[in-house]
Amino acid sequence: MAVPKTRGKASIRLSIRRFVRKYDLSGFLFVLPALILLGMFMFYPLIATFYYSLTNFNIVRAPRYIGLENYRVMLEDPVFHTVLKNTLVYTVCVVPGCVVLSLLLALLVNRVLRGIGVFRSIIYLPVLISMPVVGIMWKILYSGQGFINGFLQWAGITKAPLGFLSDPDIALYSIVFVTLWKAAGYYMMIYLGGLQQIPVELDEAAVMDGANAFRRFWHVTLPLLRPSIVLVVIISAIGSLKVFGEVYVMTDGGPADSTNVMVYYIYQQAFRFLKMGYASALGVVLFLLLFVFSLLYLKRTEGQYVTY
Amino acid sequence: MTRIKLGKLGVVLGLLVSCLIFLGPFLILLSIALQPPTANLFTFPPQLIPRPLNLSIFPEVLRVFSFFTYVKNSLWVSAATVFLQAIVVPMAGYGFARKKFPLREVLFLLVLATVMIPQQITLIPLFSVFRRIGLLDTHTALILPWVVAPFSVFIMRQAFITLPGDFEDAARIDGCSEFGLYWRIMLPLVKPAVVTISIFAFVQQWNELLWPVVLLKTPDLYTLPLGLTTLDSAFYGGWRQSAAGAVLGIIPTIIVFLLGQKHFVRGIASGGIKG
Repeated sequence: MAVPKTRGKASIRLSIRRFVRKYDLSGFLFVLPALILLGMFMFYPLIATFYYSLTNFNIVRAPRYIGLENYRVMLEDPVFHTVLKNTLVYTVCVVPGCVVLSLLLALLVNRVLRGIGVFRSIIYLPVLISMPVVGIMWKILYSGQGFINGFLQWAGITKAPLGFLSDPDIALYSIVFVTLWKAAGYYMMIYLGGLQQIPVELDEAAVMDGANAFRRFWHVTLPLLRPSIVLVVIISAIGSLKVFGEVYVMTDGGPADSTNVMVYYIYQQAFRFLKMGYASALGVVLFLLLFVFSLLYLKRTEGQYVTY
Repeated sequence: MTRIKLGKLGVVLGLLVSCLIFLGPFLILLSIALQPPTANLFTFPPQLIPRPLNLSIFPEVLRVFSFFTYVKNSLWVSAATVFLQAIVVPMAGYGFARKKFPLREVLFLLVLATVMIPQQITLIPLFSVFRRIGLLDTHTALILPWVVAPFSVFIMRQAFITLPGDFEDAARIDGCSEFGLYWRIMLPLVKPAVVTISIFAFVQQWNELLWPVVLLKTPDLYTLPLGLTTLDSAFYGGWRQSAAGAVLGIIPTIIVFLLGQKHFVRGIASGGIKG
């Protein structure tokens, strides 16, 4: 009995060694730390959020399973309806704004000119400034007697000061404007990257054929810029659906929830009212809203690594 | 001829207008901060250069607003994240790019898929976990979750894939260990990519707002963005003081930007840095 046993051990050891030699498991050790961290801080929380969304979790007591109750409450929650509408309106305003404005800026600064780098840096500067600073800045600009109201009245466009952040009808659009101001430089850089990959010969050929500047842009530049445009749409849509900072620093979701958006509402429910279960259900809805865009982003990233 | 001139005029005009729009708010902020206490802040057209310049606003603000503590905290949190990432992420990129092991493709796809998980929906479980192990209100909890950015793993993998295979063969023949090969030969070759992902992580952590808002309760631990959100209440909505605090808050960003401008441009070109 003893002999086959040791033989078995030896053969197992041999096949392990063969396996190790064949696959070089050290490769696995190289990726292990990153995988562990991603598992702990990305995959586990994702799964836990789905689970919590089916419970009455409130951080103090252990979560108790309540089925789809949170989702039923959500359907009847008028604030949730407002929040969802605000998030979509915000996204629908920001995405085309980014696509068009940043393209115009990129075309403007995509030329060989002394000092053009300074202009690019100036337009890019707001991207790097943290949101609380941007918030203080724009609260001052938007205030009752602030610069913008001063200008509008001086130019005779309005008679009385507008409540940019205090009027529920326009507060959300005031936030859209700040987002565009802050993010334009970022998307401009993506466009610049795309523009610089377009061979100059194509434009020159179009000039030879007698095409004017607009036709050259419409028929040569724009089609070749398609990948950049798609990228801007995807990134700005993801960013808009996840907006939090602008709202947190400028309006706290008010007045009367007119600027309350998904992530801010999740934050409110989870960390102000400790309704972690309900907030998790909101998180799942956010995840689903983002899913299509994230999938597109993922596909693009993946495609990049195939083509490179 | 005139059409070309008109076009040039249009470009110059466009540049000036965009300069005004993007730089103007900064100038107004600075101007408000430096107005003397008695000045009417909101005249139009505004008096951009205050007379007299009120530089004593900064000592006044610094007495209440612990700017240097916040900067120190932010530096520590951002630097620690960058440091840990520089150890873990290039290693993972190297493994995925140059090694063969079972399930490699599946695991890499899994890493890529985490790009789809929005940070915002992971907060509740993370908060709950850190609460259970007693790490709420600590910098550790601020750092750990963002050490591995999936997009950075992707960038590092790209960087290693493009290297020629000769180095590895030569080093293996010379009897170099697998880790030595990575650490002494391969890693130095992808330094630019490491710099790029480090800047991503630094800017990300430096400006992060939501997670510190949720996590930190002790003012002495606040990061700079979180500290800046306290300005309004600290000065009861005094515009000059808030503006002065915001001006202080911009300074570190400007310094970092000027130091690393070249790398920033490269980083943005690869589609990653976002405030």
